[in-house]
Amino acid sequence: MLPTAAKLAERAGCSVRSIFERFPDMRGLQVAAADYAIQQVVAMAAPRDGGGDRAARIKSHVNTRARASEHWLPLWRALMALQDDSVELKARTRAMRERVLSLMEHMYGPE
Amino acid sequence: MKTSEADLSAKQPNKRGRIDGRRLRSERTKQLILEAFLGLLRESPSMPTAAQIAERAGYSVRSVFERFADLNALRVAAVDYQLAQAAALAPPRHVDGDRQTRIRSQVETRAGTCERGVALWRVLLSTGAESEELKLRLRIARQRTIDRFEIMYRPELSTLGDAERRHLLIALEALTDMESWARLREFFDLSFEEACLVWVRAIDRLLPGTQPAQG
Repeated sequence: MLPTAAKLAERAGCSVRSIFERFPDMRGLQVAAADYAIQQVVAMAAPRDGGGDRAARIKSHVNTRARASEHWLPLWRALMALQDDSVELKARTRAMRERVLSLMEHMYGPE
Repeated sequence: MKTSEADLSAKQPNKRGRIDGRRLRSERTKQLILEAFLGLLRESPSMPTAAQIAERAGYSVRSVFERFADLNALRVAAVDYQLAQAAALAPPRHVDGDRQTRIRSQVETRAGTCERGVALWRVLLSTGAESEELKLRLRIARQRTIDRFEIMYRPELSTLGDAERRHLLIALEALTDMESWARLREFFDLSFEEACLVWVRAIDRLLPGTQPAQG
């Protein structure tokens, strides 16, 4: 369930007006949240053990991916539900998937 | 007025016939409403309104709500309808075939089910998260997929211990999820055949061999 502007304002400890002074509308806020999440995922999911043996690389990749999935699943679901109505959000889901693919290409280069 | 047994026996089938006819027509109307709902979902991934469903089916909104208590009841009935269709259209085939034949058969059957069902699946995920009835049906649909793997890949699965077998079944179910199919078709823009080939190769890699390793 997407939170309302009032709920967001309450959680952030600001007024609804403050939200809309910073974001043009709820869609603008959703896009900004997606960008913020992508930055966080990129920071969390930096490739490690890329030069290790096969088992080490698999384990490292799975751990990284699992942590990111566990943390970002609710936002990802919201993004999936909203993307059909937004070219900007669709571009963000595409960027996320491309990133996952490129990370796998890096980790499993030898195979 | 006295009525002879002969009169009764002559009249009863007609009465029953009328009742059966009405019931049949009512069932037919229900089916047309469900088909209209599913047709609209395939065209657009958002939940259609009762007015749109009624218009597509060629009935009034009142007719829709005479047969379904609310839109959630209609969604639940649509899932039951599609589960029944999937069971009818996708019986297990080539169960005794060789490994490649079984993989190809299972993948093509599953792909057909996903191709027909992905629109409804998405609406369920976005609108039915709070419905216990829908959650139960999602669980049934997933369990049926796992049951099918157990039938189709019995020779390979029988070589594994309980934990490994369970993990492999979970991985196979996730791999061939409705959303996975949608991603292959829509995000990666693969044809039906190309998407099947991706699944065939991935399943072939995941399944263990049935022969002891040589050397």
